Amino acid sequence: MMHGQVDHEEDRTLLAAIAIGDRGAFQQFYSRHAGRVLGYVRQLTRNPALAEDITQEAFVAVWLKAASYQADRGDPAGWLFTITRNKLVDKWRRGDRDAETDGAPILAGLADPPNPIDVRVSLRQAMSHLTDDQRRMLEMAYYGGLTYEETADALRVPVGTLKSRMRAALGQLRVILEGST
Amino acid sequence: MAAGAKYHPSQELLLEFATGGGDRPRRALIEAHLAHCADCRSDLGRVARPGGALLAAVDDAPLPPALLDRIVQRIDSMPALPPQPADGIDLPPGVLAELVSMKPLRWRSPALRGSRIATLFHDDHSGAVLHLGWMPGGRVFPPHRHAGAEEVVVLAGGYTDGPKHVETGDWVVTEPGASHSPTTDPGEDCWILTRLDAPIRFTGWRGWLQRAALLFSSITRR
Repeated sequence: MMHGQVDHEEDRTLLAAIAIGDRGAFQQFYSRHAGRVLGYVRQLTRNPALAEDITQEAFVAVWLKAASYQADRGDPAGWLFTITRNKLVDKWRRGDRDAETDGAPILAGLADPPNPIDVRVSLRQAMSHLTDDQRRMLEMAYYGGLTYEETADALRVPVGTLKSRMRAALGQLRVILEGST
Repeated sequence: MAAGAKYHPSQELLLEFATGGGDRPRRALIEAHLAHCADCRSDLGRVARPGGALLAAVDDAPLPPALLDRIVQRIDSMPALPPQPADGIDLPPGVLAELVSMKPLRWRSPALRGSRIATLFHDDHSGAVLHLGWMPGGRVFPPHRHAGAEEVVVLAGGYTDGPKHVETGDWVVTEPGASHSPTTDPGEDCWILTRLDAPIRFTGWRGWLQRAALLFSSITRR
């Protein structure tokens, strides 16, 4: 499914309704996103039951945090990504080792795109413009299943250096993505 | 505060937040800052955008029919709106969302010149603690030293700390080992949210009292 400007607007409308307790809007938001959230978490955990738990926690957080969403916080998908990562990282921190992964790049698990304008093409193309080191770093710590500390350890750089490099790489990725949409 | 904050979390902290990192106390602090800072909301949106693109690119997993029911049951078991933990201050929704399972506050104010401090929660993994603090206007918080880092977001009012004057929404960091004694602005209450890596240590006679109390507490626990 392609996520264009119209979809973001609809998501923003739904979040505004959820913020005032609209259950119907919540169910619509769930229907639009839960499948991909579950798919993302499953790829990282490879544990269907755990992935369902994390998805459940993420959508409870959507209900609780909808009032904190403001349009200038960016697109709702990015906001939902942050919430999902929060719940995933919380699981790792609580010592739920079932939530660990081997850090395999999640992009490698994506199916071939069904059509040339699919957003995954944009993402893959954007990633292809990064250096190998930048790509590896983002796959491990941003998209993948490693914490910053684990990624820094694997790449043998201090955590502070990793964060600075990630910021630069994400900035570059963002410019490429914005230029492609 | 419409004018926005003067002092902000680092870009690295916003990136950490966007990718799910940071402990709960820091997430709550960042949410508090974001409620007052359009610039950081915009920066965060930019950093999180590739993550949104990633979610959009993932194949839908088939949803178990009972999953939505379980989520709705969880929501039904919670209050319609998370209650504000204290009279006199409205915490932003993003902060309240982190406090859902919180117990009633226990305020402490020994030897603090009219100030009050309550622990909101303790993060078991990082050891960091989130406190809510209140001081009347025009008061000096007693001199103290920080064994670990302190991060503060001003929720209401303002204070002066050395050469720095901070107001609602500002993000203030005190490095480990530093000592200070902030003074609140006259005429208005000051509310802060504080994340501490380690407890503060008062200096002067309050320090003696604090050490004596800690010693007494350790003896009585044996």
